[in-house]
Amino acid sequence: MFFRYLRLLEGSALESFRRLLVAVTIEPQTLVSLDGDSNSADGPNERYARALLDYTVGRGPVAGPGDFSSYTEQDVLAAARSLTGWRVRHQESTDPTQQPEAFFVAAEHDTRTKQFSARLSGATLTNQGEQELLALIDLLLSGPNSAQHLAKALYRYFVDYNIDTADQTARIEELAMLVQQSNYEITPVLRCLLGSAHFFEERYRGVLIKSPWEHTVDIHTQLGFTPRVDELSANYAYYRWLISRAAQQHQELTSPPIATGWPAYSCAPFYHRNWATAGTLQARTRLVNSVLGNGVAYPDGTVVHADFTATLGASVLPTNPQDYVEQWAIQLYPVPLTEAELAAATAILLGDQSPATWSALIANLRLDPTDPTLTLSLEAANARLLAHLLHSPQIHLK
Amino acid sequence: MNRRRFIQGLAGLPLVLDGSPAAWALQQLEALVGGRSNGRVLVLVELRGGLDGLSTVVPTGDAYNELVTLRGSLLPAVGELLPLNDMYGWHPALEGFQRLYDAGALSVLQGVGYPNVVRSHKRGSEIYATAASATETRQSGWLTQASLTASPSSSSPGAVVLDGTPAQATQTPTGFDGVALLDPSTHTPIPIGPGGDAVGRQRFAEELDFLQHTISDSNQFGASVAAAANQGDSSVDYPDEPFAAQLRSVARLISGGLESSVYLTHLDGFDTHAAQHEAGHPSEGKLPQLLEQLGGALLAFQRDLELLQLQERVITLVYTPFGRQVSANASGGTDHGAGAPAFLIGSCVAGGMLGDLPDFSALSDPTAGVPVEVDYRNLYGTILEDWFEVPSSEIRAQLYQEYERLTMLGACDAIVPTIGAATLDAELRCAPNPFTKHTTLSISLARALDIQVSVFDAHGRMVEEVFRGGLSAKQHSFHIDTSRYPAGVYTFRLVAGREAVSTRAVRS
Repeated sequence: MFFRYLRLLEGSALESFRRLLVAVTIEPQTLVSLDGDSNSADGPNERYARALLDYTVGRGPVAGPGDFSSYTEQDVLAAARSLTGWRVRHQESTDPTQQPEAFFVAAEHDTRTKQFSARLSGATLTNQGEQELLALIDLLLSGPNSAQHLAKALYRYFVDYNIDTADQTARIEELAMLVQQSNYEITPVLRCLLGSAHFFEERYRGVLIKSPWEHTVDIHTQLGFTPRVDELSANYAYYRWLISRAAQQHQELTSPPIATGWPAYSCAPFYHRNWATAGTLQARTRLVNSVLGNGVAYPDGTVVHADFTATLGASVLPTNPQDYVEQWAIQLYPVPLTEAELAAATAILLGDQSPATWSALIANLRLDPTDPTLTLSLEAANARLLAHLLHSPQIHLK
Repeated sequence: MNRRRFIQGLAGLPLVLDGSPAAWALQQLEALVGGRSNGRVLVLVELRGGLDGLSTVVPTGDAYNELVTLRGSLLPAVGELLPLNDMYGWHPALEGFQRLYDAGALSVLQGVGYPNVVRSHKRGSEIYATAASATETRQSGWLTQASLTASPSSSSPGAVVLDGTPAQATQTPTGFDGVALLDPSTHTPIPIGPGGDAVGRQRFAEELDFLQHTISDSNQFGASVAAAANQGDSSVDYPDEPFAAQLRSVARLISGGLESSVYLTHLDGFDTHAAQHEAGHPSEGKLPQLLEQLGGALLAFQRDLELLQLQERVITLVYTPFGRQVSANASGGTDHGAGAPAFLIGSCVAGGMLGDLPDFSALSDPTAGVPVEVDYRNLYGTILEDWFEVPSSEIRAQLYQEYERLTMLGACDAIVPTIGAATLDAELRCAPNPFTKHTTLSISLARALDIQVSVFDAHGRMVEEVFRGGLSAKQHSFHIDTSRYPAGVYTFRLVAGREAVSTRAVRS
């Protein structure tokens, strides 16, 4: 059931948000997890309806009793009643011909007319049986709030969670217009956002804290660990390793702590900052220490160590030590180092060597990239440098 | 010089020996040098998801019969309820709360909330965390507003969050006060590498600053928190689940000498929209299991505090962001409601029940929650006033203008009696008492026992271990060198298994 659900998200994330909402609403995993499968006419269950409103029109500031500006408690109940009657069969089935599936039980559906509040234009939904779900989602997506809410969510995820300039508000308005014009197709909206000069502006570099998963994958990639394309089982072991490392930093990939997902993407006012506490930053530090020091240990006992040269590529190594440090900084950080930081990092790279010895080392490596003595010196210098650079607070920003 | 050493240094002066003027001077100094800290501790337990209060503290008599039509499927049978008072019974899974209540170590407050309770999880939690009203947004958490998150010393954070996630109650305009840790007993120092060129990059600078701040708090407090967790004691068996483990950590941290004022914990899973009990068995299933975890863990925690002689320093507030609807839905559960009970636990609480529930016979709205009788900010204010000695004028100015004190804290005399264990037949006596440079502790045992004998200061911190091992059934004497003890009251405690006896003596 969960696999089905993941496939649904993976396959539809870049298509129609409207179709995705319809599909998610009656996906067996959702019905079971958010109690839709026991929502019925004689005692509606409000749980999924509330989540659906939060996902579409979004929850605005509280304006009065039960009134969230964009919807009210009346709408929670009306939406819950529109969604009554959906059930799941073959939930625990191990028979491949009987996959878990949702079905509609007309007798459990509330056939009365549902009256929505003025926040949703006082709309009514008459009984439409299993089609009523489509009408409900059309209703929720018809006003400006849903498009705004979606545009904002995309903007916060990709650009900056902090929205306080007129320029930002104008961009979000533009995106929201495009959401409506494209009838909630995600791809054109993302193409517009990610192709805009705004997205690439220097002032939005390094303003979002990475998730534990991003931190974990980035650290491994930067240290030259890659999945082995030819070995399926080794890849499984590698990904399991990554998943367990991210979990140690408080992100269990398929189990966010609240129904609306990870607090980092939905919890005002600090959004992405929710990832970083004393505890999780200590766990991130342990990851860096362990991967730098001990490499990746596979369950079969194999240990793979960091390959520093993989990231930069041996052929282009600059002979100037400061340039070399700068190349690493570009790989690792969203924002360049200050002159003083660059000088300090260069001193760490060199250790007790002179800059000339370094230049000679690189020049010789260009002639013979496999010479064991030369490679060893480079590895040692890299290990010193990376232990310094990977412990930058900036490593957590993207 | 940190505050603790400063005060210890002062305690060595002869001035302190003669009582009240010195005690007054000490209080003034404490007020000057460190936040709110008066050595007392508040433990917060948030029941996330919204507690079904009517399944927790169940009305009996006529009120029970009224509820049968509204939520009959959810009600435990009358005979199964555990005795509470003449109007209510505990849910059968809440033996832990029953024992605390019977000992006078638990106060129940009915109908807690605020006007127009918000039925959204996120907003509901945010309101409780920031002491806001339904319509107001506050930038800072209530603990921050009340200055409880200020560090009492350079080695103790003001607040410790036990689950490693940011706690909104400790929020500041730019981040979070205190430290949130995944495992308080381990500490990993975080080296601080290059930050990057923040000139002209305002947003980057803000995020970098937040990270640097969090890292520096972690580096400043992490090691002493871990040291306290490892030095600290805990001598009862807790239920084997994560919530109880969080409370055990709290006991270890306090007994290990951490001076933090607030510890934040939570228990998840109260969002019981469906199948909150097993069909036909209201005393089994999801909610009963949670209630059992809750009561079991808090009972163990209180027993632990008593054995550690910390019971006069710690109170625990159990609260939930909103209650659930009075009527059941058709899923065998309840949807989000309004008011809910809150519980204050500890030897220093007044005990008993405050507030009452209305008559549900006239209930016409099927989505109605339990009405709110008491504003939750009065509960916060009472804790600030009675526990942390914050003047009520300050509470009204900073936290809640309409604050009115509740009678929930009293004398620190409640002790939870031990049930099901053999009585410890041991006597302790200190002579001379008062003592100066040395004293002799006599221990009489009626039977041979494996024991541990330790000395604690007035703040509940262990001063030294006197003896650990087996002793025969007779009188034993231990000569204790007290020449380095600062003047004050000391507790000599003997622990054998899960039992303890203690005696007090004064160093003059």
